[in-house]
Amino acid sequence: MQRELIAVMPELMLVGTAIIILLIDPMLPATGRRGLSWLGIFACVTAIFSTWFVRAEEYSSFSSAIAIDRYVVFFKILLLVVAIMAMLLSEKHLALRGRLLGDYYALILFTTTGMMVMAASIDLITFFVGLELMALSTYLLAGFFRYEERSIEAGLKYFVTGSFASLFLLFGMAWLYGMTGSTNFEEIGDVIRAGAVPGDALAIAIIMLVAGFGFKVAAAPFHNWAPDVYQGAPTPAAAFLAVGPKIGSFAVLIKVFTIMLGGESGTWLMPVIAMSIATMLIGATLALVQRDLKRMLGYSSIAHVGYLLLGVVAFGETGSSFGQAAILFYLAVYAFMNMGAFGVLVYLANRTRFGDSLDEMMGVGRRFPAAAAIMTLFMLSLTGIPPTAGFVAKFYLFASVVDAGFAWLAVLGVLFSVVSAFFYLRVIVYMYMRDPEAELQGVPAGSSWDLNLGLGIATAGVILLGILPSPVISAAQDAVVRVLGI
Amino acid sequence: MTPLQHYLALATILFFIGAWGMMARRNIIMVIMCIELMLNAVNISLVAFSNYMPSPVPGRGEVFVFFVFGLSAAEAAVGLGIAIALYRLRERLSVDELDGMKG
Repeated sequence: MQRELIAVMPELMLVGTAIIILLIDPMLPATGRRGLSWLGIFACVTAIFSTWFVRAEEYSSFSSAIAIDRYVVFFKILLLVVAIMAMLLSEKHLALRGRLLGDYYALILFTTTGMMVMAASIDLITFFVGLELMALSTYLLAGFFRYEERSIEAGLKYFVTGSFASLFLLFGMAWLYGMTGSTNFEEIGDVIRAGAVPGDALAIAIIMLVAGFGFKVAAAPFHNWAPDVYQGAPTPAAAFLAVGPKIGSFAVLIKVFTIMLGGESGTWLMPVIAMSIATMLIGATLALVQRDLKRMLGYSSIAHVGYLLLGVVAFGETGSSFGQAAILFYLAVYAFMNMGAFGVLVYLANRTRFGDSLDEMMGVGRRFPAAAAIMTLFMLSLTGIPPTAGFVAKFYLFASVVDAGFAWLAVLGVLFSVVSAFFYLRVIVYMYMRDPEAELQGVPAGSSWDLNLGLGIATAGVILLGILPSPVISAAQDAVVRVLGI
Repeated sequence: MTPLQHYLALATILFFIGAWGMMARRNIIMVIMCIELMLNAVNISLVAFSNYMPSPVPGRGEVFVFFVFGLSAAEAAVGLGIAIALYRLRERLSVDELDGMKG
């Protein structure tokens, strides 16, 4: 019993803190709400320690519903760091818009809990409960500025498409359960490998699962909601939405496609290859024509999902651990650079009357040199230029694709990276080399040191993972080799 | 006894009626009702599968259905919450004019 509780200790801490925040929030005066983010951050830091404490253990608890192993520990720590950054980025922005409410931090903590449950799940029921906890909280985060039409529109679109995706996943899960008689990942995998499942029914389940996951991670042709949601959502929430749910979904996707459907890669490999090419193509080309930076980052995140799907192709073909480890490392790097890029937009919106458009970036290099410098770093990293972390991540991922015998896919990936360089570097050009027609007007109360701290964490992550990637890469390899047993 | 295929056919038909409704309906309340329809189609298939299961793990499907019940209630609450926020802002519930973002 004690061991079972230790396995879910981080989740219990986050849920407990979220409930405390919701309870004390109405009793606080408007200025007293400032401290609530630190309560949430404290809970996340404590949860990181309590996760680190069980890093060497390997067991399943609650009748094989939840597992504790290195794979889960890797994802939990990554998700908690993302949650900390999200809370640091949010506070001042919400206060300036008059929406500094405890609900926001509670929703971030609930989302993080849902993603952690997803990463830890080894059972379809646990997976679905974690997925829905994550999804329902993110719909509300997207619509959090509920007096602004765009935010409500984002929340509504996210709700409709997200529910659609969840339902397809659920239908696929129901068929998997019906064909195999179990809801446990390992048991389902054993039955499928034994060949006791009719191929047609299995194909239906696989198509449903691929479509559902495609919606959740915003892969083409199921990507339409992503740019709208990221553009309409409050900017710090968009940073979190573009990173967190993708990490959580890929954590389960790898498990599902390795443990359950690893032997059936013949069925799902071709759809995933087609999806990844289409996703890279749409992400990289449509980002070219965007004038709104949040929308541009939305399409850029679609392109990055395309690269990540290449990793799925790599491990589906060979069955070796290279592809999974590359995906894990890529997700860690993606988290830091994307949070950072959105964070700079939050910074500019706090300090000036900034409307997220590319034209307003003119002259930023002169007025906010520090923000422009780290924005340059994040853009270079998103492009994949050495010595930033983005380069190491892309190199490692494309190496795994070549290793799997798909050199032509890796070449395609590099080509799309070259295309994407155009719109990332354009931001740098606008910041440093264009003179504005009208200066951005300042907001006097806009500076905040917790936003600066959040940007500092993201910058440190991008630089450190670029120069010293080996500890995280070996942690990722350790996580997948020992756990997925390949 | 009714064969399993009949239940599955019913569930699949209901699921795709719901999916079609989600895409075709312009009123958000109707969209939420279509979501509930799809969830209940999945519930039918889960209970049917569980009832015809020869394997020694009884009742897993029914347990799954209980979780889906709880989550569908939460989903309706969140959906109606967003619908109310939209209604307060614009005094209508149609999603037709929600096209503020393009590109």
